[in-house]
Amino acid sequence: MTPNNTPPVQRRIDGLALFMSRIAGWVYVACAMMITFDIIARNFFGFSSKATVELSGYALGLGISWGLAGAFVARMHVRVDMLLEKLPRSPRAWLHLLALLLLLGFLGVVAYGVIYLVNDSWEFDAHDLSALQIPLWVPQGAFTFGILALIGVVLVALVRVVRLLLAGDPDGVNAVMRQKSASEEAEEAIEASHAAPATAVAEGRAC
Amino acid sequence: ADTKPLEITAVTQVGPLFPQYTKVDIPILRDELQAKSGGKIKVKLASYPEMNVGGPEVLRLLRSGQIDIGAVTLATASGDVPLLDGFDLPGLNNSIPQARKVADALAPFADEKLRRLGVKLIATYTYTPQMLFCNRPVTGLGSLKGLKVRVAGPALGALVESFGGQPVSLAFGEVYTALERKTVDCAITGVGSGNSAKWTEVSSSLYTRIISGATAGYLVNLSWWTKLDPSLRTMINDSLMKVQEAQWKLADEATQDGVDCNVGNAAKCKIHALATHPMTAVKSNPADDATVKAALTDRILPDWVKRCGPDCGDIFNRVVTPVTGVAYKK
Amino acid sequence: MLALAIFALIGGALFLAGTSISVPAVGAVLFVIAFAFFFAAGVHIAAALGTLGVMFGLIYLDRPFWNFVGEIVWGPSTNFVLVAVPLFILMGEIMLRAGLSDKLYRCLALWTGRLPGGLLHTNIIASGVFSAISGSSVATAATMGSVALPYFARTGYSPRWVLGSVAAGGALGNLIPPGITFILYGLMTETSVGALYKAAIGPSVLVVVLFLLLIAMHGMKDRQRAEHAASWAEKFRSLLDLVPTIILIVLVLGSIYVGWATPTESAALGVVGAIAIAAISRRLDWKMLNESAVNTSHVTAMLGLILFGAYILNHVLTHLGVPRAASEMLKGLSMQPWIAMLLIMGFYIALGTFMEGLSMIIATTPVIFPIVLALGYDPVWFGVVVTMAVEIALISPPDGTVLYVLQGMRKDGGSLSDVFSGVMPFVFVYILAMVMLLAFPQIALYIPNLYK
Ligand code: NA
Ligand code: NA
Repeated sequence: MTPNNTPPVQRRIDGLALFMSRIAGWVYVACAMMITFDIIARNFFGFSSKATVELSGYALGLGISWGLAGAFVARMHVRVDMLLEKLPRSPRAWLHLLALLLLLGFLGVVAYGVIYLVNDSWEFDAHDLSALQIPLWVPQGAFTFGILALIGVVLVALVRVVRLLLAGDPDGVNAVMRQKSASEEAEEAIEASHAAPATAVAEGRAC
Repeated sequence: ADTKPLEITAVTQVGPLFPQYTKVDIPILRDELQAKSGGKIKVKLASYPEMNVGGPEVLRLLRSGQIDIGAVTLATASGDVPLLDGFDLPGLNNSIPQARKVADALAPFADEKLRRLGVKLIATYTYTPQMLFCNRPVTGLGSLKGLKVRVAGPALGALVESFGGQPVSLAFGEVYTALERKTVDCAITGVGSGNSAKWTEVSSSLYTRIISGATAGYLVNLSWWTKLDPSLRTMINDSLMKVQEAQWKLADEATQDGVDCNVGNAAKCKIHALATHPMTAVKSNPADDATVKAALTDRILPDWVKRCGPDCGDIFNRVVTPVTGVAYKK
Repeated sequence: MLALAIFALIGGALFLAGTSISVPAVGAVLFVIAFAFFFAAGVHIAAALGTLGVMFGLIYLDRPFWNFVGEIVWGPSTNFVLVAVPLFILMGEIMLRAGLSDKLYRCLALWTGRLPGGLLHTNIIASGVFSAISGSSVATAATMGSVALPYFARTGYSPRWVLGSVAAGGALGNLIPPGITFILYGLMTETSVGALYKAAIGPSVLVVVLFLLLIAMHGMKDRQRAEHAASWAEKFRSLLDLVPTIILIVLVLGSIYVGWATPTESAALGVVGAIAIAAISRRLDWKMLNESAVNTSHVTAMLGLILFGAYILNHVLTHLGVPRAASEMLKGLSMQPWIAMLLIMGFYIALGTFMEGLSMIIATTPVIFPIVLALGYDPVWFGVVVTMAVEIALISPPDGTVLYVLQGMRKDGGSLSDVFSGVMPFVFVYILAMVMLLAFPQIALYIPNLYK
């Protein structure tokens, strides 16, 4: 996932980001279970949770935001780079820097907005309208934390890229910032489909 | 002197074709106010979808000063100001004039509490009241026993439970399919909103008892309002007062019209869309009265006071009890 | 080059609208240039959309819109309807790792293998059946490809046609309900997902039939069919192998149909069903479930970030009155609506050649949708058009994820150009289906209109 020459600090940070996305992923699994439970309870046992809509919404919010940093570490955030790929290595390295700076600027605005939101909900003691009356600052605070974590990993990448640029190592920058190509994504899908032992098909057995 | 006119941004109503928008807001709040001001006021008016927002966002838009005037159902803000739920607790108002009386009684208290959010309540209005849409025959709330009913919020849930029904929480956008596929047997919403969401296509019985209201308000950004030039403020206030009267009158007409349109009574259907799959109207059943009243006083009202604080109970008894005869017992 | 087409379109809308709103023509031109530069320079799509929104807001809006950004991103991030997106992705990841597809394929091969075109039909039909569970095209292609490709080793089938038909089958994943594209589109345009699913039935059948005809025509010429003719007993016995797939279809689509679950909820049933079936086929372990969960979180986060940027840009453009002005402008022009619609379709197909399909929807819908409404087209119908555009994007060279999936699965060491040239006839047929949908909107709207 990360190049072999990754410094240990970087590894630890990447590990943390991936740990957060693992939590985000399992939140989705839990969410599926909760909704399924609600469906079964409603259809067969005559009751239903009165907050599934709200809780699933928060699960999605947490899932999105806590997966952001891990997705960055796994180079999943999409860029359109038709021109980038065709440039010589040095200008390409500087454009990577530009991408990081704009991403940080954008995330800064988003972070300001969500912190404002949490503060607002806290100050006005806002609750949701579900039966659980959840204070909104709780899910919104968790959501904000995920965005701050993404800012953290982007900052770390920025420091790394600036250092490499100052050291006159554009190839290093390009290696760090290299985007995941469609073919790499494909490779992962293929790996996943072979994760299980060879199938009966390969043995040519009919059904 | 040729000064720049005051530009007011207002976001009101759930759809650009809603009668509350086309018959009241556009002619009075926008056109008439502009004309009367003699060029001193310019109104930029839009409905929710035109600004790509929903009710809760309108409230936030207003508070953060993106817009100056906003119209939202009071329930939208009840997570922040629980008193607002007191305007239309399920079972409290069984007619539009009755809902108006309660709104007038509670409005000053609501305004007081809303100041905390940086907004001011200037005028009230109402959407068409909430009724029961079912995809099977019903004779009243008594038929809800064992049925799955989509409700928004715990108070309506309590009412449904007191009749032995099972309240279900579903996103509004999923209710159409849920009624069609019989995921739920019934759903409660405004008789007009059910019409515009085309629930008539997927449900057969409309129980015409008013189950709950949908009182709403015209709110303004408080700091904008206080900084306004006093003569302009009076002008805007007068306009909103006129809007208030027009909206309550419209609501009274629209309630019956909503029923007529939903049951396919073409001659009387003027405001809403005539249902292509007419529903059957079921008259309000007096047998429901006792249970509704008990649910209100024993469960819904105490739950609300618990959420809202003891002073809500006092306010209720002081101003709402005289106009409804319903009292909160500690 | 193609990118310029988009920017010209968005910029053109801004420009046309320039007279009636507070953005001068210079602003519109700047917008287009900045957009084109950000895109070509490899700026993250989310940041490109968001930064432009913020820049425009700072220059032209006189309200403190930055205080509203939190609400802008929080709203869609917690919308219940959108919950179905990660759930469908998760289900696809689990089914992929559980190898749920081989029995389905082998069984269908017995039934379709003797037609002219032989096993190539199986590729389409098996993928189509799988698509009735899966909401994701990449998952469909990867799952069916891993089974189908080994089947063709040491046969006389042309590798191009094998790869092309498997890719085309994958591109049914979103179109045949359920589908993630419909959910995203429904969220962004407030269109009912249930209605979109109904509207997709006609076009799905059309695309499948056109694919089968294409294969049959090719098969008549090349006389390809399976060598082994299965007996009826064999055929019927094989139906047992369809049981797991049918159970999942019943869970996902059947639960909506009989009213146990809403379209959103059915995605959750699908996840639980996929886990159960993986467990029964002894493919379930913590590692695979964990990998599925992590991948789901990354894909969803990627989409979520773009959603943030798109919603910020959308908020600013809406408050500037751009969509409204642009659509009023369009109403004023005396252009035939169908010409405008052809342009929009062409724009999507062009954009799709180099952009990932789902991000394409999120990034463009807020600008395009009001225009489509102004042209007088049905939102449900357009949802199907957009979904077909996304499917075409996924299989159109040079940047189609599905194509890379298949190339990576090949064991014969052939070149990528086989995949590219193999899929082209199917891409053209898909585009033909889109044009037919324009000419005969009833293909999509007949079934949803049965209720009106
Ligand atoms: Na599908
Ligand atoms: Na493509």
